[in-house]
Amino acid sequence: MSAFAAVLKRDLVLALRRKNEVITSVFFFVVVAALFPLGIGPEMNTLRLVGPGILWVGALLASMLSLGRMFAADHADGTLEQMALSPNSLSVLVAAKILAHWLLSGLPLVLLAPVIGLQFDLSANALWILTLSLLLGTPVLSLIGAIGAALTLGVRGGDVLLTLYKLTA
Amino acid sequence: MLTASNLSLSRGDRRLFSGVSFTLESGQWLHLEGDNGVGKTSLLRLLCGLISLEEGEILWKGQTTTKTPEVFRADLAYLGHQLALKQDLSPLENLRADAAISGRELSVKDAMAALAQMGLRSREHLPVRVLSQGQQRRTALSRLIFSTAALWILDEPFVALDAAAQNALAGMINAHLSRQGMVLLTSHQAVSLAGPGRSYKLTA
Repeated sequence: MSAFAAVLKRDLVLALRRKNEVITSVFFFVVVAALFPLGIGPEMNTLRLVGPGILWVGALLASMLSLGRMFAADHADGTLEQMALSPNSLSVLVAAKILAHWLLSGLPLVLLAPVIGLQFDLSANALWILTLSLLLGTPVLSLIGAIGAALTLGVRGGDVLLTLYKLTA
Repeated sequence: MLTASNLSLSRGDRRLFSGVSFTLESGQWLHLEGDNGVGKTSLLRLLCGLISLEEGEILWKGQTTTKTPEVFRADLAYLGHQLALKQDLSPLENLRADAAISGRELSVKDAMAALAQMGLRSREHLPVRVLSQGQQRRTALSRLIFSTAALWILDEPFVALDAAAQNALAGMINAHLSRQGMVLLTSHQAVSLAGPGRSYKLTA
Protein backbone atom coordinates (compact mmCIF):
# COMPACT_ATOMS: atom_id res chain seq x y z
CA MET A 1 0.00 0.00 0.00
CA SER A 2 1.37 3.41 -0.90
CA ALA A 3 1.95 6.00 1.81
CA PHE A 4 -0.84 8.14 0.32
CA ALA A 5 -3.33 5.28 0.60
CA ALA A 6 -2.11 4.41 4.10
CA VAL A 7 -2.69 7.94 5.43
CA LEU A 8 -6.07 8.17 3.70
CA LYS A 9 -7.17 4.80 5.06
CA ARG A 10 -5.97 5.59 8.57
CA ASP A 11 -7.84 8.90 8.69
CA LEU A 12 -11.05 7.32 7.36
CA VAL A 13 -10.87 4.41 9.81
CA LEU A 14 -10.24 6.81 12.70
CA ALA A 15 -13.21 8.94 11.66
CA LEU A 16 -15.44 5.85 11.49
CA ARG A 17 -14.44 4.98 15.06
CA ARG A 18 -15.29 8.54 16.17
CA LYS A 19 -18.46 9.06 14.18
CA ASN A 20 -19.73 11.95 16.30
CA GLU A 21 -17.07 14.30 14.90
CA VAL A 22 -18.22 13.71 11.33
CA ILE A 23 -21.89 13.79 12.24
CA THR A 24 -21.50 17.09 14.12
CA SER A 25 -20.45 19.09 11.08
CA VAL A 26 -23.05 17.48 8.80
CA PHE A 27 -25.76 18.03 11.39
CA PHE A 28 -24.66 21.66 11.80
CA PHE A 29 -25.04 22.19 8.04
CA VAL A 30 -28.53 20.66 8.02
CA VAL A 31 -29.69 22.71 11.02
CA VAL A 32 -28.35 26.02 9.67
CA ALA A 33 -29.90 25.40 6.27
CA ALA A 34 -33.21 24.28 7.77
CA LEU A 35 -33.58 27.25 10.13
CA PHE A 36 -33.51 29.88 7.39
CA PRO A 37 -36.73 28.83 5.59
CA LEU A 38 -38.44 28.64 8.98
CA GLY A 39 -37.19 32.08 9.95
CA ILE A 40 -37.85 33.85 6.66
CA GLY A 41 -41.31 32.36 6.21
CA PRO A 42 -43.02 31.00 3.14
CA GLU A 43 -41.86 33.76 0.78
CA MET A 44 -40.97 31.58 -2.17
CA ASN A 45 -39.29 34.34 -4.15
CA THR A 46 -37.09 35.45 -1.25
CA LEU A 47 -36.18 31.84 -0.43
CA ARG A 48 -35.25 31.12 -4.02
CA LEU A 49 -33.07 34.22 -4.00
CA VAL A 50 -31.16 33.53 -0.78
CA GLY A 51 -31.10 29.71 -0.93
CA PRO A 52 -27.76 29.10 -2.71
CA GLY A 53 -26.05 31.77 -0.63
CA ILE A 54 -27.22 30.23 2.62
CA LEU A 55 -26.12 26.76 1.56
CA TRP A 56 -22.69 28.12 0.68
CA VAL A 57 -22.32 29.93 4.00
CA GLY A 58 -23.48 26.76 5.76
CA ALA A 59 -20.91 24.68 3.87
CA LEU A 60 -18.15 27.17 4.69
CA LEU A 61 -18.97 27.16 8.40
CA ALA A 62 -19.43 23.40 8.52
CA SER A 63 -16.06 22.76 6.89
CA MET A 64 -14.49 25.22 9.33
CA LEU A 65 -15.90 23.29 12.30
CA SER A 66 -13.80 20.26 11.44
CA LEU A 67 -10.74 22.14 10.17
CA GLY A 68 -9.12 22.58 13.56
CA ARG A 69 -8.98 18.80 13.86
CA MET A 70 -7.24 18.23 10.53
CA PHE A 71 -3.72 18.19 11.99
CA ALA A 72 -4.33 18.81 15.71
CA ALA A 73 -4.62 15.17 16.79
CA ASP A 74 -1.61 14.13 14.71
CA HIS A 75 0.36 16.99 16.19
CA ALA A 76 -0.58 16.03 19.74
CA ASP A 77 0.28 12.33 19.53
CA GLY A 78 3.48 12.69 17.51
CA THR A 79 2.15 11.13 14.30
CA LEU A 80 2.84 14.35 12.42
CA GLU A 81 6.52 14.16 13.44
CA GLN A 82 6.76 10.65 12.09
CA MET A 83 5.10 11.76 8.86
CA ALA A 84 7.62 14.59 8.57
CA LEU A 85 10.44 12.06 9.04
CA SER A 86 9.04 9.69 6.44
CA PRO A 87 11.18 9.30 3.33
CA ASN A 88 8.00 9.98 1.36
CA SER A 89 7.29 13.55 0.43
CA LEU A 90 5.33 15.35 3.14
CA SER A 91 3.19 17.04 0.48
CA VAL A 92 1.85 13.67 -0.65
CA LEU A 93 0.97 12.67 2.91
CA VAL A 94 -0.70 16.01 3.58
CA ALA A 95 -2.64 15.71 0.32
CA ALA A 96 -4.02 12.41 1.62
CA LYS A 97 -5.10 14.11 4.83
CA ILE A 98 -6.83 16.89 2.88
CA LEU A 99 -8.62 14.34 0.71
CA ALA A 100 -9.75 12.49 3.84
CA HIS A 101 -11.02 15.78 5.30
CA TRP A 102 -13.01 16.49 2.14
CA LEU A 103 -14.48 12.97 1.98
CA LEU A 104 -15.65 13.31 5.58
CA SER A 105 -16.78 16.92 5.72
CA GLY A 106 -17.22 18.12 2.12
CA LEU A 107 -18.70 15.21 0.23
CA PRO A 108 -21.64 14.66 2.65
CA LEU A 109 -22.61 18.32 2.13
CA VAL A 110 -22.52 17.96 -1.65
CA LEU A 111 -24.77 14.91 -1.41
CA LEU A 112 -27.17 16.65 0.98
CA ALA A 113 -27.35 19.93 -0.94
CA PRO A 114 -30.01 18.85 -3.48
CA VAL A 115 -32.30 17.65 -0.68
CA ILE A 116 -31.83 20.77 1.40
CA GLY A 117 -32.16 22.96 -1.70
CA LEU A 118 -35.75 21.72 -2.04
CA GLN A 119 -36.62 23.67 1.11
CA PHE A 120 -35.72 26.85 -0.75
CA ASP A 121 -37.95 25.91 -3.68
CA LEU A 122 -35.00 25.81 -6.08
CA SER A 123 -35.72 24.57 -9.59
CA ALA A 124 -34.16 21.34 -10.83
CA ASN A 125 -31.75 23.36 -12.90
CA ALA A 126 -30.68 25.54 -9.99
CA LEU A 127 -30.25 22.42 -7.82
CA TRP A 128 -27.88 20.94 -10.38
CA ILE A 129 -25.83 24.11 -10.54
CA LEU A 130 -25.74 24.38 -6.75
CA THR A 131 -24.61 20.77 -6.31
CA LEU A 132 -21.95 21.07 -9.00
CA SER A 133 -20.65 24.33 -7.57
CA LEU A 134 -20.41 22.74 -4.13
CA LEU A 135 -18.66 19.74 -5.67
CA LEU A 136 -16.04 22.14 -7.02
CA GLY A 137 -16.06 24.48 -4.04
CA THR A 138 -15.86 22.17 -1.03
CA PRO A 139 -12.48 20.64 -2.04
CA VAL A 140 -11.18 24.21 -2.37
CA LEU A 141 -12.48 24.95 1.14
CA SER A 142 -10.55 21.91 2.42
CA LEU A 143 -7.42 22.92 0.53
CA ILE A 144 -7.42 26.57 1.64
CA GLY A 145 -8.43 25.51 5.13
CA ALA A 146 -5.48 23.12 5.33
CA ILE A 147 -3.09 26.06 4.97
CA GLY A 148 -4.83 27.83 7.83
CA ALA A 149 -4.97 24.69 9.96
CA ALA A 150 -1.24 24.14 9.43
CA LEU A 151 -0.35 27.76 10.19
CA THR A 152 -2.35 27.89 13.42
CA LEU A 153 -1.19 24.48 14.62
CA GLY A 154 0.11 24.62 18.17
CA VAL A 155 -0.82 28.29 18.54
CA ARG A 156 -2.89 29.12 21.60
CA GLY A 157 -6.21 30.57 20.53
CA GLY A 158 -5.48 29.21 17.08
CA ASP A 159 -9.14 28.48 16.42
CA VAL A 160 -10.01 32.18 16.44
CA LEU A 161 -7.13 32.96 14.09
CA LEU A 162 -8.16 30.08 11.85
CA THR A 163 -11.73 31.39 11.64
CA LEU A 164 -10.48 34.88 10.76
CA TYR A 165 -8.08 33.50 8.16
CA LYS A 166 -10.65 31.25 6.58
CA LEU A 167 -13.30 33.96 6.36
CA THR A 168 -10.94 36.44 4.77
CA ALA A 169 -9.27 33.98 2.39
CA MET B 1 28.56 7.29 9.57
CA LEU B 2 26.93 10.20 11.36
CA THR B 3 29.06 13.26 12.00
CA ALA B 4 27.87 16.23 13.99
CA SER B 5 30.17 19.20 14.11
CA ASN B 6 29.86 22.31 16.20
CA LEU B 7 26.10 22.17 16.72
CA SER B 8 24.48 24.84 18.80
CA LEU B 9 20.90 25.67 19.61
CA SER B 10 19.10 28.55 21.26
CA ARG B 11 15.55 28.61 22.54
CA GLY B 12 14.37 32.19 22.82
CA ASP B 13 17.17 34.15 24.49
CA ARG B 14 18.59 31.09 26.17
CA ARG B 15 21.46 29.18 24.63
CA LEU B 16 20.81 25.49 25.26
CA PHE B 17 24.13 24.10 24.11
CA SER B 18 26.93 25.01 21.76
CA GLY B 19 29.95 23.40 20.21
CA VAL B 20 28.51 19.87 20.23
CA SER B 21 30.58 17.58 18.01
CA PHE B 22 30.72 13.81 17.77
CA THR B 23 31.03 10.97 15.31
CA LEU B 24 29.09 7.74 15.26
CA GLU B 25 30.47 4.88 13.18
CA SER B 26 28.74 1.72 11.94
CA GLY B 27 28.07 -0.75 14.74
CA GLN B 28 28.54 1.89 17.43
CA TRP B 29 26.23 3.37 20.02
CA LEU B 30 26.28 6.74 21.72
CA HIS B 31 24.60 7.41 25.03
CA LEU B 32 23.70 11.06 25.43
CA GLU B 33 23.79 12.12 29.06
CA GLY B 34 22.90 15.32 30.82
CA ASP B 35 20.69 16.92 33.43
CA ASN B 36 17.01 17.62 32.89
CA GLY B 37 16.46 20.59 30.61
CA VAL B 38 19.98 20.64 29.23
CA GLY B 39 18.67 19.99 25.74
CA LYS B 40 19.06 16.25 25.08
CA THR B 41 15.68 15.91 23.40
CA SER B 42 16.28 19.11 21.44
CA LEU B 43 19.63 17.78 20.25
CA LEU B 44 18.01 14.55 19.06
CA ARG B 45 15.26 16.48 17.27
CA LEU B 46 17.91 18.72 15.73
CA LEU B 47 19.77 15.68 14.42
CA CYS B 48 16.55 14.26 12.93
CA GLY B 49 15.78 17.53 11.22
CA LEU B 50 12.66 18.29 13.25
CA ILE B 51 14.32 21.51 14.47
CA SER B 52 16.12 23.60 11.90
CA LEU B 53 19.84 23.92 12.25
CA GLU B 54 21.18 27.31 13.31
CA GLU B 55 24.88 26.60 13.47
CA GLY B 56 27.09 23.66 12.69
CA GLU B 57 26.73 20.77 10.30
CA ILE B 58 25.27 17.27 10.36
CA LEU B 59 26.71 14.79 7.89
CA TRP B 60 25.21 11.39 7.10
CA LYS B 61 27.52 9.19 5.01
CA GLY B 62 29.40 12.35 4.12
CA GLN B 63 26.33 14.24 2.86
CA THR B 64 24.70 17.19 4.58
CA THR B 65 21.39 15.88 5.94
CA THR B 66 19.49 19.04 5.07
CA LYS B 67 20.58 18.86 1.44
CA THR B 68 19.28 15.34 0.81
CA PRO B 69 16.74 14.84 3.61
CA GLU B 70 14.89 11.96 1.94
CA VAL B 71 18.10 9.90 1.72
CA PHE B 72 18.76 10.52 5.40
CA ARG B 73 15.16 9.86 6.46
CA ALA B 74 15.11 6.50 4.67
CA ASP B 75 17.97 5.47 6.97
CA LEU B 76 16.47 6.95 10.12
CA ALA B 77 14.18 5.57 12.81
CA TYR B 78 13.20 8.06 15.50
CA LEU B 79 11.32 7.35 18.68
CA GLY B 80 10.49 10.40 20.75
CA HIS B 81 8.53 11.06 23.91
CA GLN B 82 5.36 11.04 21.88
CA LEU B 83 4.74 7.52 20.74
CA ALA B 84 2.91 8.41 17.52
CA LEU B 85 0.24 5.80 18.22
CA LYS B 86 -3.39 6.34 17.28
CA GLN B 87 -5.43 5.65 20.40
CA ASP B 88 -8.46 4.38 18.46
CA LEU B 89 -6.49 1.94 16.33
CA SER B 90 -5.17 -1.42 17.47
CA PRO B 91 -1.42 -2.08 17.80
CA LEU B 92 -1.63 -4.15 14.61
CA GLU B 93 -3.29 -1.35 12.62
CA ASN B 94 -0.86 1.21 14.04
CA LEU B 95 2.18 -0.83 13.04
CA ARG B 96 0.96 -1.52 9.53
CA ALA B 97 -0.02 2.11 8.92
CA ASP B 98 3.36 3.31 10.21
CA ALA B 99 5.21 0.88 7.99
CA ALA B 100 3.25 1.98 4.92
CA ILE B 101 3.82 5.67 5.69
CA SER B 102 7.56 5.09 5.96
CA GLY B 103 7.40 3.33 2.61
CA ARG B 104 7.47 -0.37 3.54
CA GLU B 105 4.99 -3.16 3.18
CA LEU B 106 4.38 -5.05 6.44
CA SER B 107 2.33 -8.23 6.32
CA VAL B 108 -0.13 -9.07 9.08
CA LYS B 109 1.99 -12.11 9.93
CA ASP B 110 5.19 -10.10 10.38
CA ALA B 111 3.40 -7.43 12.40
CA MET B 112 1.87 -10.08 14.69
CA ALA B 113 5.30 -11.69 15.15
CA ALA B 114 6.85 -8.32 16.06
CA LEU B 115 4.11 -7.63 18.61
CA ALA B 116 4.43 -11.12 20.08
CA GLN B 117 8.16 -10.57 20.45
CA MET B 118 7.43 -7.47 22.53
CA GLY B 119 5.05 -9.46 24.75
CA LEU B 120 1.82 -8.13 23.28
CA ARG B 121 0.32 -11.42 22.20
CA SER B 122 -3.51 -11.39 22.35
CA ARG B 123 -3.45 -7.58 22.62
CA GLU B 124 -3.03 -7.11 18.87
CA HIS B 125 -6.65 -6.19 18.19
CA LEU B 126 -7.46 -4.06 21.23
CA PRO B 127 -7.56 -0.30 20.79
CA VAL B 128 -4.29 1.24 21.99
CA ARG B 129 -6.18 3.48 24.44
CA VAL B 130 -7.05 0.50 26.68
CA LEU B 131 -3.41 -0.63 26.91
CA SER B 132 -1.24 0.36 29.85
CA GLN B 133 1.49 2.99 29.49
CA GLY B 134 4.15 0.28 29.34
CA GLN B 135 2.24 -1.73 26.74
CA GLN B 136 1.84 1.39 24.61
CA ARG B 137 5.59 1.94 24.75
CA ARG B 138 6.14 -1.71 23.82
CA THR B 139 3.88 -1.22 20.83
CA ALA B 140 5.87 1.82 19.72
CA LEU B 141 9.17 -0.02 20.22
CA SER B 142 8.02 -3.03 18.19
CA ARG B 143 8.38 -0.76 15.12
CA LEU B 144 12.12 -1.16 15.52
CA ILE B 145 11.93 -4.94 15.04
CA PHE B 146 11.18 -4.70 11.33
CA SER B 147 12.91 -1.36 10.83
CA THR B 148 15.38 -1.27 7.96
CA ALA B 149 16.87 2.03 9.14
CA ALA B 150 20.59 2.08 9.82
CA LEU B 151 20.40 4.86 12.39
CA TRP B 152 18.14 4.60 15.44
CA ILE B 153 17.59 7.76 17.42
CA LEU B 154 15.82 6.84 20.65
CA ASP B 155 14.72 9.35 23.26
CA GLU B 156 14.46 7.67 26.68
CA PRO B 157 13.54 4.26 25.24
CA PHE B 158 13.80 2.47 28.59
CA VAL B 159 11.23 4.63 30.37
CA ALA B 160 8.06 2.90 31.68
CA LEU B 161 9.28 -0.57 30.70
CA ASP B 162 9.45 -3.55 33.06
CA ALA B 163 12.60 -5.64 33.39
CA ALA B 164 11.54 -8.12 30.70
CA ALA B 165 10.78 -5.39 28.19
CA GLN B 166 14.03 -3.59 29.00
CA ASN B 167 15.91 -6.80 28.26
CA ALA B 168 13.97 -7.30 25.04
CA LEU B 169 14.80 -3.74 23.97
CA ALA B 170 18.48 -4.13 24.87
CA GLY B 171 18.46 -7.35 22.81
CA MET B 172 16.95 -5.53 19.83
CA ILE B 173 19.54 -2.76 20.09
CA ASN B 174 22.38 -5.29 20.35
CA ALA B 175 21.09 -7.17 17.31
CA HIS B 176 20.91 -3.90 15.42
CA LEU B 177 24.49 -3.02 16.41
CA SER B 178 25.72 -6.44 15.33
CA ARG B 179 24.13 -5.75 11.89
CA GLN B 180 26.41 -2.68 11.73
CA GLY B 181 23.57 -0.37 12.71
CA MET B 182 24.02 2.79 14.75
CA VAL B 183 22.16 3.80 17.89
CA LEU B 184 21.97 7.21 19.50
CA LEU B 185 19.99 7.29 22.72
CA THR B 186 19.28 9.21 25.87
CA SER B 187 18.60 7.47 29.14
CA HIS B 188 18.76 8.35 32.80
CA GLN B 189 19.31 4.69 33.59
CA ALA B 190 22.66 2.98 33.27
CA VAL B 191 22.96 1.56 29.78
CA SER B 192 24.83 -1.67 29.13
CA LEU B 193 24.96 -2.52 25.46
CA ALA B 194 27.16 -4.83 23.48
CA GLY B 195 29.70 -3.52 21.03
CA PRO B 196 31.72 -0.37 21.00
CA GLY B 197 29.99 2.65 22.43
CA ARG B 198 30.48 5.60 24.66
CA SER B 199 28.73 8.34 26.56
CA TYR B 200 28.56 11.96 25.61
CA LYS B 201 27.87 14.39 28.39
CA LEU B 202 25.81 17.36 27.28
CA THR B 203 26.39 20.49 29.33
CA ALA B 204 25.03 23.99 29.08
